[in-house]
Amino acid sequence: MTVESGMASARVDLEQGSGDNMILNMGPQHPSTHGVLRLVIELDGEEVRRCDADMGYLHRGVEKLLEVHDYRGGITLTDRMDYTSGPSNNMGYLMAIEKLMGITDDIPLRARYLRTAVAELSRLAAHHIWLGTHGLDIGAMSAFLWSLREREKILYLFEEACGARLTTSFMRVGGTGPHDVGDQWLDNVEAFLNGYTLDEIDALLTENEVFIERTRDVGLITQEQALSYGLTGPVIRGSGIAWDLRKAQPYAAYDLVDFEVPVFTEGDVYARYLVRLNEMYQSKRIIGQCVEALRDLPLDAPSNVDLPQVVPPDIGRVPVDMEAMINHFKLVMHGVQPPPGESYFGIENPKGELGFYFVSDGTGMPYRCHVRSPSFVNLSIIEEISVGSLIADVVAIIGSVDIVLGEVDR
Amino acid sequence: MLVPAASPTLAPENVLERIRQHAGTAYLGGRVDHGDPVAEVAPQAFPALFPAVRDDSDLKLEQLVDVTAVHWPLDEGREFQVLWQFRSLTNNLFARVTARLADGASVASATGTYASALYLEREVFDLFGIRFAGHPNLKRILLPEGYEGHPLRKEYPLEGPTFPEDAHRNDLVGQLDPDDFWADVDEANGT
Repeated sequence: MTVESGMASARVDLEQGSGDNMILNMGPQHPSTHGVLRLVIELDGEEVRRCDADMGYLHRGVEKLLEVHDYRGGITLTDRMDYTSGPSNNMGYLMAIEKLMGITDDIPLRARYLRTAVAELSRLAAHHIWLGTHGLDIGAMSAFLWSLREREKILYLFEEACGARLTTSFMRVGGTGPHDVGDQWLDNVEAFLNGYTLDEIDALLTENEVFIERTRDVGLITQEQALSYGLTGPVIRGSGIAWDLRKAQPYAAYDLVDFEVPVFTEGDVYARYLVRLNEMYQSKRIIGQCVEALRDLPLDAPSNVDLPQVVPPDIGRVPVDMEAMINHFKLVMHGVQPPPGESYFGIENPKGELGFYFVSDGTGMPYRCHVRSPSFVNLSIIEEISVGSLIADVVAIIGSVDIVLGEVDR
Repeated sequence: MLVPAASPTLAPENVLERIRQHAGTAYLGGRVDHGDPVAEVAPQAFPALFPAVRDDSDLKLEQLVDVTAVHWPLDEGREFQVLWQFRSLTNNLFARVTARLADGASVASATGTYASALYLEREVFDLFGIRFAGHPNLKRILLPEGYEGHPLRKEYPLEGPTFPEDAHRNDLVGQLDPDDFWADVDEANGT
């Protein structure tokens, strides 16, 4: 006897299970799987005996597509992976190309601060989605509404800076590209920060008896497991490992700002909740410092590298300056052309380490681009830690690992 | 609590040196590329190399961050470059180990040492068709079971194998006779 659904791979042979156990299909259309994840769960009563994750429902072949887009065109594909934090994905992609080209150290300070601020804003935005839906999964409805209200304000800031809320395609190789911001935007960010508080949500959940009951000692991840499964991001910091790429290998302006990395040692769902909540306070701190630093920079501080083969000339110069026209033409026709070689660069995305591995053959399109997606790697632990837990706890565990299926499936 | 080193405890050259000692005769060469140590080894270095680099107290490459591959179809007999990227959180190190494989050859799985390989190797198998010997559950992960072909191979068409060939824009451009094209334009303009 088999339980079948659309995909042949999803076939689970009941006879392989242990007798009377029940096979339960959770997803792909299930609100608590945060997208289109499908879990095939073997249940003994309410206890999970086996859990198989089935993914790929959102697979769009991003890596194949990146091979036929020039480096600039690829930006638009990256924010569609982890769509809760588009700008942050853009940064990872851009900085990986800059590393491949060897121009990381030339990026002007203005762009570095702005990237840091925008990456932290998108961390807040992503964590607000997580906070809301995680609460919702466990039964706290109000947190969801309040959380998304705050996220909305951040999306307005993105829209003001680059014209898009979700799929931002923020910035370009070599600096901010056309997306430099003015004082008005900095004012708005400051106003947002002044009005920003997590206290309401904090008061709703952190001391909430029901919430603690549902999350403490649930979904335990030991340090050894966290290392072996290659976990990164808040998940590993909830298991007592103070690993954060922003501190360990600072990029953008993270070495210039002051912040702490929250770490909790319990390794349960509640610890991961606390890590992310505290991380949001730290993000607020970082954004404030970046805004201040951006204000202190002189008005004419460059926001792009001074390399004509990377950054297009000022469009006003193109009709009147022969050299500008040639550079503009070459950049439009051939794009950015990194020298042949390979490199890997990872950033601390809201979900964990987002890495891009590039192989360049010297042309305007990457020979190969691999995306190391944090959600994909973090998801693998679910199959192990949900065994032995109750079915209701699986929902809490998925929420605490915080995956985005757009990034898992790519 | 595990607190990582604030900066890498070993220079990239020394990381390569440690890997060379562990790989022995299977070590084919190493270089520092964009600041990262990259070691090339023969496929038979695995799986012994995995526990060796993880348990070496100087390296302590505790995490297998990434497994992926690159297809070089013109490089006959060594079409696939498989790469394993490691991180040591304790020592704040990064290392990339690569191996070249022939099309159809398999390489030892890292699942005995690193659980992250469970998914990562399945992904490489799914998209490239590279087999990892010893993987407990090597099946497709992103694409549905029964899917034909491995899309990240270079010969795999971008639009998929079932896409009508004459609909390919590049083919049309290639087959298009400029004279016919301009004749069509003239006809459309009535000139």
